[in-house]
Amino acid sequence: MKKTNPSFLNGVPELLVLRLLARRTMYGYEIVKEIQVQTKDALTFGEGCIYPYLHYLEAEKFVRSERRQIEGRSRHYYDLTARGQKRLEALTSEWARVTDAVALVMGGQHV
Amino acid sequence: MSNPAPILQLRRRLAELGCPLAVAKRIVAETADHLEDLRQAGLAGGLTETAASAQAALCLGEPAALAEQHLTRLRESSWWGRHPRLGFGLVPILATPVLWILFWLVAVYSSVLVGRTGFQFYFDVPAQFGVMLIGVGLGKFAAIGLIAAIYHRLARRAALNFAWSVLACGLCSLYALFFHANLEPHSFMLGIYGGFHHWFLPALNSNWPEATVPLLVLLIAHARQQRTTAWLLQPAS
Repeated sequence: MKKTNPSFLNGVPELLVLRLLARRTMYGYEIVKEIQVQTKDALTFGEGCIYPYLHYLEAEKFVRSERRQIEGRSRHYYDLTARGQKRLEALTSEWARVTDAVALVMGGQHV
Repeated sequence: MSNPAPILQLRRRLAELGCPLAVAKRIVAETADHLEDLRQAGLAGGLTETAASAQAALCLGEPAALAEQHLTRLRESSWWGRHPRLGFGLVPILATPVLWILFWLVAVYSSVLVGRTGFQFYFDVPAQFGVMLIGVGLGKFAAIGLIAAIYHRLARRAALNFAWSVLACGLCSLYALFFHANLEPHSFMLGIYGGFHHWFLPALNSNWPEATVPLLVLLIAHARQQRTTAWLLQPAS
């Protein structure tokens, strides 16, 4: 039986976070600001929500974190792991599949 | 450093939910960092101190909901957190005897290794046999305590309610009440008491000290949880 996509649809924040961390090491506040800038504030959410996701990703070993002191501020910085890279690739291809499918349904309309 | 209102609310809710100390410390630290970054951004944008703090709190989101999201995510990230009924109700019933015998045998074997000799030597020399008896006795208590501590640790790591630890440790205590391990020269017995008086008149049971061990583990765990709650509820740290 073909699997449905509930976890994928719930996994959009996961995709965004992994995508950003694939570019460079970041801390929570930076990740939120980067999402806001890159989506032109289209995605709004309570900013604290990012941390349960980050901790979950860390528990799943998709990211690793380290407390670092930079410019007088001590923060948790997050890095993508090799496992996270694979997860990102899987989520990216799933995202492409879903958006292609939605585009087919929407026909010629601009999504 | 004083705690802004959203951090106090977050700490209070984490305490209510029984969040483990290490996890709570990290959540509080990261959220406080984030709030401070938001406040600094507001000040840099020309807001007054009060307006910057208010805007930061708004952007952060509802602290109590945030605490709940953290704990929910933590539970979802482990099998024990997703299936507490199975993990702390059924698994201890099935696994405790196996683990208990396994740990006990390790303890017995270790006591033999300490003497750098075999079982036969211990059994035949009364003085050495006495050493082995002590090893077996300590191993029995250590095994019961260790298994209870493992169940409690699994419940804490999954950020589950203390009641799940109570359930698992309670089952361990029950098992400890009815298990027996007797060592005599050239023989040892390992089993479960099946007599009427052991099951229906537990006051006559000689295993009360063993049965108290998981309860002691619970007591220590409770004291540690109280320490976490005290840390979370203190006005500033």
